[in-house]
Amino acid sequence: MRFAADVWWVAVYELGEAVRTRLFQLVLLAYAGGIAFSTWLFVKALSNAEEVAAGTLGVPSTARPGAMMGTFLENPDLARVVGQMAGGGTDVTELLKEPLLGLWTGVATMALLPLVLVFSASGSIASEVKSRSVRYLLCRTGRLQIGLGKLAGQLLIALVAAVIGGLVAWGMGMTMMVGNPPLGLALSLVERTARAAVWALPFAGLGLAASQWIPSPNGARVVVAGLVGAMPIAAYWLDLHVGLSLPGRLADLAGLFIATTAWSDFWATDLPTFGAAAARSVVLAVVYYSLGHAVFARRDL
Amino acid sequence: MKPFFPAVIALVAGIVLGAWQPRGELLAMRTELDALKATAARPCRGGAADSIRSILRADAPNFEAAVEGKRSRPADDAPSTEPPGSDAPDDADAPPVAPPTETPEQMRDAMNTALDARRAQALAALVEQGGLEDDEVAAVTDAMDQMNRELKVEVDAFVDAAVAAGEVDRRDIMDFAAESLDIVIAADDRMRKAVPDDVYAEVDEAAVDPFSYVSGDVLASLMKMEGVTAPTFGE
Repeated sequence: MRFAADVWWVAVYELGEAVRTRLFQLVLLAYAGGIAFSTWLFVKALSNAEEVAAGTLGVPSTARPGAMMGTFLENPDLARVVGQMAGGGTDVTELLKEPLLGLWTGVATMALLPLVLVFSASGSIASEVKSRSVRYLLCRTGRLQIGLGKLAGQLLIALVAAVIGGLVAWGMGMTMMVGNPPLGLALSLVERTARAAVWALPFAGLGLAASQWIPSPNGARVVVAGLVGAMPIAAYWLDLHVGLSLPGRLADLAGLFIATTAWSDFWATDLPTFGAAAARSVVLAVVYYSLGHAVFARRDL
Repeated sequence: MKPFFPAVIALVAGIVLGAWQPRGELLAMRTELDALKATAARPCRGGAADSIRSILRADAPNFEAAVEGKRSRPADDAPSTEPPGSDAPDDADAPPVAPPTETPEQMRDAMNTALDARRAQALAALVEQGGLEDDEVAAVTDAMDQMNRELKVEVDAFVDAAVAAGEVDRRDIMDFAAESLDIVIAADDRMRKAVPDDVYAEVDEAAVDPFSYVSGDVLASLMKMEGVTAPTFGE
């Protein structure tokens, strides 16, 4: 019980500390800007498509697009694009019942949120080690509680960022478009951003691992950026070697431990598949974190 | 906390051991499926399947290839009727005309979709340009719904009569056009009442044109008219 309470207080401290930091405020602003930009791109693309369609049909175009959204949703080409966006095996018909802007924001959030967490987590422990402030923290609790608390704190940070991004997308969707159901869009954004927050957890674990290896925030950021960049390459390479032989089977299993391979599972419309993906995400976050903790637990602070 | 690392190792081992059997079965099934797909994609001996597809014109590339092949051998089929030195345009470089690949049902669905999109866009433009209140939007929607209901009754009755008779004459068509136009004119009157005068004068003409609001299902029964003999106007 004491252990859990310590982890919780470290998590709350981590969130408060991050929100007070000027650099992190800038990162959050950049993230909100990224979501705003992606929403603007969506609105612009829809506006152009509607302008062409309206010209063809002989009716006036509108400054705020969205009136013809229902027509576009019936287009098989759009279903194919959404299917590719969500990865193979996803029930696209079920997915397209959600507002398209919600799905688009889900993609943008899943792409951008890991970057925010990697940036935030990689500086988390490293900065405390560098400034030696970790010594004072250790007077009150253990190293594992600090590490796991910071991991939980990253989840809180992800949720704060996701809420900000969701609000930006909702606000823009309701003011720059027509035809978006206010509650339907809000629910879709809540679901997509919550899924994205869980999807991003392993990246926080990886960032914390680098933060425990290297006692310099910028050094840790460089290392973790390299690791995140290498993930899709490693996943592709392993996928090439998947087969029924023993090395092929091992390559298949190794793919389970690469966070980026779970992308399509986070678009699953059935609860068991998504639940398994969420559980895998939490496990990967802890496994990645533990790689750093092996060093941090023995470090002379 | 000493049990942390053993717990992590146990987690990893649990994932590996738990996934070994089901993922192995999944891999075996995927391999089998890939093999079946490869077999299905392999062309039949003599290209019979391709030939049948080509005859039935099921795929455009084969059809185009057949057309191209025919174009390259004009002398085999018939002697040229063009006089030597004729200036007739050579259409050898023109793209071949693809055969219609859509079924009547697909064409009807496409028409429905286009008309519904047109209606939605016209209403959105009217709302945006005219800044209509909710009750005004509801009045416009009701007026156009009524027009579509009346038009559907008119179109269905006309089509049923034409299909039963097997032909339509000029008088039938003129009566149908007059009745339909009366319905549209009545809808236009309702539109003018629903939209304030100043707004009506300012907005785009197509946004208040009742024809922009004709819904797809009104014309759905016209597909039954195929085969019905109709006169040609203007001849």
